[in-house]
Amino acid sequence: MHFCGRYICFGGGQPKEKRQKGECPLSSPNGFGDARLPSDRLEENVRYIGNLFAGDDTLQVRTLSSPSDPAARFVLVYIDGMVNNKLLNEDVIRPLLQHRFKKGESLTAAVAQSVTLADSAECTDQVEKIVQGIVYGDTVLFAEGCADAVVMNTKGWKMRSITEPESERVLRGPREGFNESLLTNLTMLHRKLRTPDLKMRYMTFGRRTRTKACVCYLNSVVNRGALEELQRRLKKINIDGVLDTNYLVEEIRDSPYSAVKTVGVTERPDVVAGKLLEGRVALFLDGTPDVLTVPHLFVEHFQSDEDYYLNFMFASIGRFLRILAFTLSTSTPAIYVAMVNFHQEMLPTPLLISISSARRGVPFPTALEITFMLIVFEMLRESGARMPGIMGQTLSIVGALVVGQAAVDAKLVSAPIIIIVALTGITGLMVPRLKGYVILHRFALLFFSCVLGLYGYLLGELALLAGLFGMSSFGVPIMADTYAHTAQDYKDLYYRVPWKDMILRPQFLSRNKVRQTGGGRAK
Amino acid sequence: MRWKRKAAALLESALIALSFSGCFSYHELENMTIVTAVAVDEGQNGKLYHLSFECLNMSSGGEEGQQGTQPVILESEGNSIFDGVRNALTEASQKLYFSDCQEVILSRKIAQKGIRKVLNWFLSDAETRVTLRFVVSEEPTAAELLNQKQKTAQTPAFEISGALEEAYADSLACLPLKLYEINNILSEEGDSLTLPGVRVEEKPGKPAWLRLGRTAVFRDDRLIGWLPENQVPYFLFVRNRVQNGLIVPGSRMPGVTFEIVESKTDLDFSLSGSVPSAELHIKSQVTADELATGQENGDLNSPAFSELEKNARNTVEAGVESVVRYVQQTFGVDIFGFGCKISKKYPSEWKKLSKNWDGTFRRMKCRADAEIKVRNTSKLVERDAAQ
Repeated sequence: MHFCGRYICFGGGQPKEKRQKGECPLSSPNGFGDARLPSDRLEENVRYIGNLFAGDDTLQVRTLSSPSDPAARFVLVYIDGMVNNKLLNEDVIRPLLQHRFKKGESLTAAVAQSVTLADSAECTDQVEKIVQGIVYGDTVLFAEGCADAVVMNTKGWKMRSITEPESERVLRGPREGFNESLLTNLTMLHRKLRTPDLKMRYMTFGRRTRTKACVCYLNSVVNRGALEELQRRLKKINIDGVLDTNYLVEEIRDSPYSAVKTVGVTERPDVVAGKLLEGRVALFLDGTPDVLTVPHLFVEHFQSDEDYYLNFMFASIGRFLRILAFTLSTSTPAIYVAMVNFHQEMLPTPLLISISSARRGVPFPTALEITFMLIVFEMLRESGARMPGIMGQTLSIVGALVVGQAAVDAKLVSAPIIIIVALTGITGLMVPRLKGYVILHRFALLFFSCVLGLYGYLLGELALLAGLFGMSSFGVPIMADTYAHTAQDYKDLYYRVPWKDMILRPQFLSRNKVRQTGGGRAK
Repeated sequence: MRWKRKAAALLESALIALSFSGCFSYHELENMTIVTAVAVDEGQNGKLYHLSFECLNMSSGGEEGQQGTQPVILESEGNSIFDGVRNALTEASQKLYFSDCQEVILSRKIAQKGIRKVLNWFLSDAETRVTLRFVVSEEPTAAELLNQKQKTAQTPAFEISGALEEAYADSLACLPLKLYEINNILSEEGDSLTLPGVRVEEKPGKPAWLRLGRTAVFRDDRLIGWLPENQVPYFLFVRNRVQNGLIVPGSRMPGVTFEIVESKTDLDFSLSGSVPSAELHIKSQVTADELATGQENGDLNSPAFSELEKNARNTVEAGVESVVRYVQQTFGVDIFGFGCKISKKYPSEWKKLSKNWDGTFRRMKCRADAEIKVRNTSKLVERDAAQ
């Protein structure tokens, strides 16, 4: 693919959306094509632009004339609140009024070249550029006798400050997280990777939102196949609006109907930098702190950024626990049902006796009981995540007392079920990135187990694993690293080796394999 | 579109297959009666067997600690074991569940008539385990053992199985055989069965309790006599089934007890004479746990110490030789499995010997030689004294 100019606009030329009756043809959501300003008369141009924005009361139009030459008249057009008024006053209006314009010179060219102090000022007669400038915080200057306009950068709107992302907190390591501004996010990445090898390519998505996005990669490391595949898929997107990266994820991901993620999401610049160093591609989108990384392997669910900032042994224990938690969370209810209802001979006698006596007087079959309690747990979790913090106390009282103690005392559910559900729930929260998938995996196994016992559990597990092994993310199988066969392939899988032993990059991800040579080894 | 239809068809057939097969062996735990022991007695009223099942009563009420611990005895009669088991359902409201059955208690009369007929159902049923233990009641009936008050365990069944396990592992008081071992011995040539006996100990003024008793000796599958309790440890030495236990020289050396750490018995046979003779090589590692003889006995290098080892050796050798002689004279059945060992080692000679094995066994000569190593004496000795 080739990049021309600063922006690449995809899906520009094909008006697929049905045009509404009575809609101004010029404000079609598909852009203005090659439309130019209608004339060199100031009033006409301003009226033309004003018509485009008719009905938008935030549009500000200010008329000025130079004190030195009353014939030199200007009109500034911008959107209130999106421009930095101080910049506008100091860098545009003041020099404009102080400048002495020569007779006969083109006013717009003079403004762009020698009057304005704005860091970027471009003369253009393309309606598309002018409109985009206005809606994105630029100030556009029209001048008497000119068939073009100057688009000056006066952007300045309020945005959230840089904070630690709520969903990816760490004890050790950098605390900054992305915010909603694309440029801020890109600078954060630039500060981490100070090399011209870091390539950043702009794109625009959404016929109506015109959301800017940026594809980032390290040119000499990146997995070419994945990069080209990503760009090919992104080009095909033709949607009216993109408000979050998930819009893009669901447009471009492999296995679109699977619950397993094939595209990674993070809010942390250090994570993005780490992924780029391994040969992945990142996709930033304006207006959201969530950055996508591809290809995304299954093991990345278990990798935490903190793994790399802590001692490798603790990190390995943590990772092992996460994998164990995933297994427990998906399998515990299924194995419990299989053991208690199909293979009682596998239970040690004292356990059998205690479960049996706990189940006395409970009216529902174990399978129903456990399904019901798992759903109740998911409800508690979901309500805990969505409700206002001030109601938290109610939830914990209801959760602990009513659902736990009272239900057992009232003989609605048996006590072991509560323990199984609690274990399942807690271990499920240990791998928050797999949350959705774990729930589905768990219920699928539980169903098989309820029908066929351990036999069904194994069949279900095999089927689900086969599904996982069959999936890929941008040309890389998502389980690629689990069937690796050299020691270096395992360096960051079930455990993490010390950094000095991370000699190579992941083999199937990057084209430049060697990560480090030598290393400051102790004697 | 085509693949969608295919997938739909596949999904549909899978759903039908899964749901029509139902939860084919789905059982709720509380709908089973957990049987922990079976006592087999002779039947009355014209039936062959009288079965007593010790079951756990899972009362949902009651105090916390009492939950699930009340034993209940169900009784039934039948012309076969299985018949009896099914007839028990007239008394129990729920299916009997045998996977946690600890042991089967046979009455003396059943044992005297032959136990093969009893074993068969336990061997072939899916629920019962091949590790099920069998014991013989020294009392008139088997069922009365289950009616005793247990001392330490939850129910008499657990009391007996616990005692079997512990006595075997730590005090050489019995040889608890599992169902598959019993079956192996019964089907093996030149080997005879023994089963632990259980009796009720009664003392005036005190409640009766269960305890392990003598060991029942079988000819083929019929009970013929009892091996006294004091012979059992040496019987275990001959069968090479010693785990941990004590060697007590007793009157030879009062105040001394050895604890066996590990022990191994090798059997050698010489078939040169008219009757084969057996030679037992016992190799044991022991610790001298009780050493109240004073002096410098605690010093591994002193002459008095070799005296200690010699005493241990003599105790074992004499005990082993006497148990073999006792069995030869009293029962004349090869409960040590000598014949079985010979048949494996000398198959051609065994063909001749097997014809009249019991007679040959009676006349066999047996010599034991023990090699006992005392590892430590649990005494601290000063270095000067040691040198």
